[in-house]
Amino acid sequence: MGLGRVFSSRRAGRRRPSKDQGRPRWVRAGPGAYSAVGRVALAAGDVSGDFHRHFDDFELRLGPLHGASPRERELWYGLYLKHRGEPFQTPDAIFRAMAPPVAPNPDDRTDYDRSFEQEALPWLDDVYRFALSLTRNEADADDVVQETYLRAYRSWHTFERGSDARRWLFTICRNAFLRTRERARHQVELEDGDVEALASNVEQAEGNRGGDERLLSRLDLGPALSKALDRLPQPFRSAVELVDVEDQSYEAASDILGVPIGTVRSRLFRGRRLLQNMLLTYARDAGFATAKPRPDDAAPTHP
Amino acid sequence: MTESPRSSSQSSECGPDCAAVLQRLWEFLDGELGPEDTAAFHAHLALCSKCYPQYNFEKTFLDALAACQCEKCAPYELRCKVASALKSAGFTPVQPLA
Repeated sequence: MGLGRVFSSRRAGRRRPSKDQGRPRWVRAGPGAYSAVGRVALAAGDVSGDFHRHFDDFELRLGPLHGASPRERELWYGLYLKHRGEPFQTPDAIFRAMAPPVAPNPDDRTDYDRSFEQEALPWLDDVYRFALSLTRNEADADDVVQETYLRAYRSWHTFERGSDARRWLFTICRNAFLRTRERARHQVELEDGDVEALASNVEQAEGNRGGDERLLSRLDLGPALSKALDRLPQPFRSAVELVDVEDQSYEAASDILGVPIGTVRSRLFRGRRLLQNMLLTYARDAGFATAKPRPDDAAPTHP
Repeated sequence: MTESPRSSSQSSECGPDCAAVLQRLWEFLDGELGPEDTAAFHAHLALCSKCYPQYNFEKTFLDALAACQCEKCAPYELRCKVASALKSAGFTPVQPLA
């Protein structure tokens, strides 16, 4: 359970975790940032994502809302303060609040359900994104997510206390995907050959990229990347999705995908190169490759 | 093009190092290098004007990649479906789900 999620809000735009600062992964701000807020939203009885209005009377609701322990209230109150932009000076309270994870206890249904609600449900968006990257189709992703959560709920007692619930859910999600689409797995493997050829083309083009990099810096990267990511073929997409979007380590990704770390690394790197290449193509199509500098009109406007 | 005073002073000693740094830049950015390598990379990047722009570029790229899916959330209908599937499996939420 990452402390990072306490300190940054996904709404405010996710920061890339400063991985290069040598801090342990669990301290880093990551995609989990959303989830603490998501938990507040859940606690506020709002799963639609439109939880901001709840913060206004959050203080009033603190007591009856959660049936929560004092330390949980402290945590939520800290988030509330953060949301209001007020200084929150007692991170120790948050540390204490985050430290002891709720253990799933199969004999106590309330505890079982509550810990599931608090630790598994907030990752719904992440699981959905991962499922979408596997299925590339919203209807199928819906089924996979549903299946994932059903399986996760039934086997919640096997979840190892204090470990990373998101990684656990991703693993279940991928298995659910593979089982519901045995044939699809076969297809994915067949596709690999074509994709290898594509990837090696990209690598050949690597050498003469030179000035292309300044093209990229002029693009509005977000939307362009989002589109490129949608077009990125498997198996690269899963590796990129897990490591870059969901901030999993190579080791976690290798666990989730059931392949060696070396394979994760090579898929990830090739995936990134493919993405960069798609962006360059996009930049050229958008007219940035022409010699004319267009400083006032940097954003691509045509479809 | 990227000539600067610091590059000329460094070029003689960082030549072979640059290749290694550029080759493992992504692993460095991913936090997958050991502490010694990480420190060595930091030291190198702080001084080398050849590697730093590349580092900056890759970092911008990865930052954008990490951020580009932020807004992609599970639709409300899916939340409802998951909630009702869980309920029929015996799940009793502490808070009403949907």
